[in-house]
Amino acid sequence: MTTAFFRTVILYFILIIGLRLMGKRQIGELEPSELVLTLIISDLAAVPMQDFGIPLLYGIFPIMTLLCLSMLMSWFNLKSVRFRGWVCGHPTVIIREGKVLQQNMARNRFTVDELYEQLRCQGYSDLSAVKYAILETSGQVSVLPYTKESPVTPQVLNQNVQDNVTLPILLINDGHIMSENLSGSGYDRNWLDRQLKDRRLTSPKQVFLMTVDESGSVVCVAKEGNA
Amino acid sequence: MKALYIPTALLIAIMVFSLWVGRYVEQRTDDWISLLEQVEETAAGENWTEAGERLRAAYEDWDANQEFFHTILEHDELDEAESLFAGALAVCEQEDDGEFHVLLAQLTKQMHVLAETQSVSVKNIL
Repeated sequence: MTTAFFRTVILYFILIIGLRLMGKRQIGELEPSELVLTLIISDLAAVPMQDFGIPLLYGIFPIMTLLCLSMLMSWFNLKSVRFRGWVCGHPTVIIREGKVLQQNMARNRFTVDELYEQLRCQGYSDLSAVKYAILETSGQVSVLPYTKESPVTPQVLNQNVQDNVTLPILLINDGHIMSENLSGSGYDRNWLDRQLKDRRLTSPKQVFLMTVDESGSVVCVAKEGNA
Repeated sequence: MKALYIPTALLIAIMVFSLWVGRYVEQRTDDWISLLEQVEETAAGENWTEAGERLRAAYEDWDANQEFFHTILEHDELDEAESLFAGALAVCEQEDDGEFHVLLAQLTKQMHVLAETQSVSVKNIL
């Protein structure tokens, strides 16, 4: 049992490091090759975790080899468009100018049911609203509707609106001061203490969440029981 | 370029280590096979005391390598060799020539199997 425990701990950390190296994408956003890699790695880790007759290295070495190959593939993907196309494939247009390109759908083994499912997921119940649909390499479908079906924006209405979108920066996260964010935003601890005092708070530990944006607007949510 | 060099270096390190393991296992099993051949020759001359001593020496050398061998080889294969060693030592004490010969042949074969599992060959790869 102790063997199982230690093997599991070791493999767990190797998997965490491995998945961290693979990037931040979620399962649904993985390229086919990345999805296969994830499945193989989890299987490789499970075998030596359960079978003590197999050396741990028999799990670690293939996992490390796969991760290294994956990193090399990513590097080549970045450097070469042709290589990227070869490994990940190319996006395929399946609706052009409102016309369904059946050959392209068949080539990608993409069924009408799947097309309708993807359209419904994006809020389109009718093909007539869709000008372009592109089957991405991740398997997702990007839909570009006709202008008359597109959501209204100020630009469409020729309206001049002030751009007031700002990026909030987290200063306090569940009682913990994000020092790098604080100094990076141009503020210091004295300023933070003043902000807390203005809100009748005595310590950052009483704060659940505090952000500041580029305009200096502060949002502070006190922890329950401190408000 | 770090994203190129680190995985490349790691892959090379893994490959070099794997090749070294194969070579090391082959060398060590060759040593034990030659010791077992000496044991067999000695037993063929009915010198059971010396055969027993030589077999015990081979076993002690084998046993001293088991910690590392268990990290690189499947435990079933090692346990099989371990049992054959134990059997051969017991039969050697009984001075049973026929069975001793069979067990030594099995043990030698098992050593070949251990080396074979780590060798780089088309048969293993495919």
